[in-house]
Amino acid sequence: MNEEVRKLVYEIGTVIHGKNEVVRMAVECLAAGGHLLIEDVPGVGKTTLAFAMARATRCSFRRIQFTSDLLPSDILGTQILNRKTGDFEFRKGPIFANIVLADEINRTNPKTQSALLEAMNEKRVSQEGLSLNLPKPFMLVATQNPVEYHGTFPLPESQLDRFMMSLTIGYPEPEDEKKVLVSNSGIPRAEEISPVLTTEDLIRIQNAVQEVRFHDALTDYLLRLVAATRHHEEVRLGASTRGAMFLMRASRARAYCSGRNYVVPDDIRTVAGPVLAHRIIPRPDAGSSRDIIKTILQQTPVPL
Amino acid sequence: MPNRKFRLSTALTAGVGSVSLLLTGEAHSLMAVPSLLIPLGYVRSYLGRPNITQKAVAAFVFLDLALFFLDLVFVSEDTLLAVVHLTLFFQALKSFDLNTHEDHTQVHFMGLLQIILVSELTLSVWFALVLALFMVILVVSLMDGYLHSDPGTERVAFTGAAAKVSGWTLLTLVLLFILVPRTAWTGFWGKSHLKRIATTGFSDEMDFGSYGDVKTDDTVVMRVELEGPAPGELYWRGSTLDRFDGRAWTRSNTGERLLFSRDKQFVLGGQTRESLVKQTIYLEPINTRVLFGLPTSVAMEAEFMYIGLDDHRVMKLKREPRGRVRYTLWSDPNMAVDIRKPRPSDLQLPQTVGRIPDLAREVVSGIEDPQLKAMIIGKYLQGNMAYALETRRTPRGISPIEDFLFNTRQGYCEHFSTAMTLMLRSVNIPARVVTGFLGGDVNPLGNYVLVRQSDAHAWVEAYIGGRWMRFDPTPSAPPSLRSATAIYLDAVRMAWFKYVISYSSLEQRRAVRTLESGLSWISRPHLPDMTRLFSGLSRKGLTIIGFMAAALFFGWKLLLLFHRQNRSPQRSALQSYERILKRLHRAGFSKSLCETPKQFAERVARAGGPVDAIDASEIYYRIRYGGDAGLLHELDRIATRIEQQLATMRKPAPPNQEALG
Repeated sequence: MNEEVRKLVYEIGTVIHGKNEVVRMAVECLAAGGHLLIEDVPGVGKTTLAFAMARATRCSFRRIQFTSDLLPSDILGTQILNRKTGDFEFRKGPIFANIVLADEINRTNPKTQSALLEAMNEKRVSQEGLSLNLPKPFMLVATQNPVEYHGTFPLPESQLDRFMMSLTIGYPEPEDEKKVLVSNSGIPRAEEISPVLTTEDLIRIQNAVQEVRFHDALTDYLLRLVAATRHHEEVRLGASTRGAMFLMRASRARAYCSGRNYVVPDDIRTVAGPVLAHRIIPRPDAGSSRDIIKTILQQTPVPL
Repeated sequence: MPNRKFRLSTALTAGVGSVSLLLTGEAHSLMAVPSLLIPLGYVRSYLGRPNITQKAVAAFVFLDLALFFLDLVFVSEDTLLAVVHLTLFFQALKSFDLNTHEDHTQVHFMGLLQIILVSELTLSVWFALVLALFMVILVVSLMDGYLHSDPGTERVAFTGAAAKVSGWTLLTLVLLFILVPRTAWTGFWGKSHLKRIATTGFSDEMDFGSYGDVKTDDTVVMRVELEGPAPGELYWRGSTLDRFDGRAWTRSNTGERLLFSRDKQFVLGGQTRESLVKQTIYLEPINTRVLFGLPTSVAMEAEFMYIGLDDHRVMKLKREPRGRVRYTLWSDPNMAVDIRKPRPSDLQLPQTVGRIPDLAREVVSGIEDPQLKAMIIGKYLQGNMAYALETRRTPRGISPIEDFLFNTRQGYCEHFSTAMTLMLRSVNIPARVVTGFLGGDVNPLGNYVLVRQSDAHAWVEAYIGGRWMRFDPTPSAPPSLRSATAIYLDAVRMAWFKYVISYSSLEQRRAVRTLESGLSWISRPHLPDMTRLFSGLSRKGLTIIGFMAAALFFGWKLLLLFHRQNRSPQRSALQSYERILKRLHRAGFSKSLCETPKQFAERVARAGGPVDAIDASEIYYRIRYGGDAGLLHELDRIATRIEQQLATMRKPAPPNQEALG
C-alpha cells in the first residue's frame, strides 16, 4: 500500500474500528476526487468517518443536517445587504469547505437536493449571477438512512449518478464494538485524530491518481462491464457514461493507493461494486444492485 | 467499405501488376484500352463515384470470357498471352466494381497472378525489384485488410504479424527455389516468350557487308566467367565458312554428328593436357545454334541432351535456344583446333577471283615456308589496308573483295579475313574464315567478361604443318569506353542471371550433395539405426527432408528471436504468462475466463498448487499493465520454477471455483 495512504487509513482506523476496507475505500474516493454516499443505519460511524477524514488531512469540515425545511440558500449561501456600504454581499454557506457532510440527505426536499447538483459537478456555486469556486479539494460526503422511509425524498437518479461511490459501513464485529465502547467513554475521539497529511499533499495525491497508467485492454474490459449493466436482464436502468468515467478514476485511485502506478484488472473489480451499484435500478422482483454487479463481474471475461 | 489505406493498396497492387505486365511488351497492343481504364476506375472510386451496376458487371464478365476464348483460339493462340489479356481485362472491370472487402481481395490476388505471369515473360533483373515491392505491398495490405475486416477480433500487433507472414513466405520461396527443378529450355507454359537477339555471321551463309551493322550494336551477347590461365587475346570461336562465291560465304557439308551427354557431360575429344581454361558461359537468347568458346574446347558440362559437333569443331545446339543458355567449357589454348587434313574445298577460289592470286604471289615471292607466307600476307593486309566500319557500295563489274584490295583499301574484319583466306588459297595454303567474337569487356566487379554484338569478329584459320593455325589480319579497332554505371548495372544483372535465373538442377544437386556430405558426417557414427529405419527412403529424399526440417527449425527459431526483440514487452509477457497458464491447466488448474490472473493465482495457491503462481501474476501485471520490460526474464524464470514445482507435485483434486467474483 502507498505509505501516505496507509498512514491515513491507520489514523482514521483508530476511530472506526474494524472497518479498514471501508475506510480505505473512502480514502480512495477522496484521492480520486469523487463524492461519497454512505448508506447505512444510524449510529455506525458515518459522521465519524467523514470528520476523521477531514481531520487527518487538515481539511476544513462542515456538516449540514438535512431537514425537510432546509432551503438551498442554507447550503450555498445568500446575498445580504451591507448596511455600511449599501451593497449586497454574498455570505458563503456551509458548502464552502473541503469536506462537507450532508447528513441524511434524503430528508430534504428535491429543490434543496438539486441545489447540490452544480456544486458536486462543477465544484462551483452560482447564485444570482455570482459564481464562486469551491475550495480545493472538495468532497461531499452524504449519508442516507435506508430504513426510514417515513418523511424522506429519495434522491433523483441524476444526483445519485454524481456520487463516485456508495458505501455501507455495517455493524462492527463484537470485539470491535467493545473497543468502541471502551475507548470512547463519552469523549468524541474523532476530535483527537492527528493530521497525517496536509491539504497540499492531498491535492498532489489527487493529481498523481490522474497519471496512473490505464491499459487499453482494461478500458475495453471496463466498458464491457458497464455495457453489461445496461443489458442485464434484471436491470431497469444501467450505468451511465459518467459511471464509466468514475469507474476508471476510482480504479486509478485504487491502484495508486495500492502503491502502483498502473491499474490491474483486480482494481476495477474491487471498486466496481461501490462505483456501479447505486447507479443501476434493478427490476422490482430482482435482487439487490450489489448482487447484480457481483454476477456481472463473474460473467464478464477478464483480459489477460 | 474497406478503409482508405486498404483501398490505396488495392490500387497499387492493380497498378504494379498491370504496368509490369505491359512493360514486358508481350501483351497485345489493343490491351492499351482496358489498361487505360484501370486508372480511370480507381480515380472514380477515389472520388466516391458510384460503381457500375451488378448487371453490367455480369455482362462484362461474360464478354471477358468470350474474348478470352476468341483470343486463345484466334488472336494470341497461346494460353499464357490469353491469360495475360484476361487479367488486364479483369483489373479494368474490377476497378469499376469495388464494393466489398472481397472485391479488394480479388484485385490483390489478380495482381499476384499478374506478377507470376510477368515472371514467365521476363528475365530482366528489374523483375526482382518489382517482385520485392509487390510482395511488401501485398503482405502489408492483406494483413491490414484482414485485421480490419472483423471489428470483433482483438487487435494483434500488426508489425509482428506482418513480419511473421513475410518471413514464412520468404522461407517457403527459398525452399521452393532450391528444391523445385527448373528446365533450362522451356517455360512452364510450354512456350518461351523471349525475343531473340538478332545476330549475323553465324549461319551457314554470310553475305558481305553484314558485319558493318553489328559492329555498332552494344547488345550483350554473352557473359563469361573465366577460370584458369586465360590466353592474352580471347578469340571466342563460333562457326567456320569455307566456300566463297565472290559475294557470299557458305559452309560445305562438314559432317555434323550428334554428341550425347553422359551425366550432363560432353567429351569433345582431343588429347587433353594440363592447364585447361574453364569458361562458364551465359549466352543470351540468340538467333543461332552455334555455341561459342575459347579454342580448343575439350569438354563441356551443360543441361543439353545432345549437341552437334562437326569436322571443323564447331559446336551447335539442336535448334536455336529459347531462352538464356548456360554451359561450361574446358579449353586447352595450346591445342590445335583441328588436326583433320584439309579437303579440296579449303583451296577453292571463286571464279571472279581476278587479280587476287597475282597479288598473293607477289606478296610472298621468294618465301618458301608456308607459315612465314601466311604471316607476311597478314602483315601486308594490316599494313596496307585501313580499318573502317563504313565501306562504299561495290561498283558493278568488280567483286567486293577486289574493290577492297585494290581500290578502297579499307574495310573491316570480314574484308580482311576474306582477303587473307583467298590469298592463302592462291598460294596453295588451305584456309577458311572463322566467325566468333574477339575480346569483350572485363567487368571487374563480377570478374567476368562481357561480350557484345560489337565484339563480333572474323578471322582466318590456315592448315600449316599438319595443323590448323589461327591468323588475324584485321588491324585492331580503337577500344570503346564504357561508363562505370553501366559496369555496375551489368554486374548486378550477371549476379541475377547466375544465382537466380540459371540456377539449374545441377546446382540443386550440388547443394544437396554438399548437405549430404555434411549430414552423413553426423549420421554415420552416431545414428546407425536411423538410416536403417529409413532404408525405404532414398538417401537423397532423406537429405531433402532433413534439410527442410532444419530450415523450418532455424526459420522458426529466428522468428521467435525476432518476435522477442520487436514485440512490445506486453505481448511477450502475455506469451510467457500463457505458457504458465498452459502448464497449470495440464496440472489441473484451469483459469476461468472471468477470473483475473491474481484471483486465479490465489485460488491455485489455496488449492495446494505452486505458490509461485502469485508471484508470477504480480510480475506479469507489472510488465503487462505497468510496462516494466526489465522483468521479462524474471517472469520466464518463475515460469520454469512453476514447471519444476508442478513436476514434483501430484495431480490435485479438481479445482474449486470459490474464488470467483
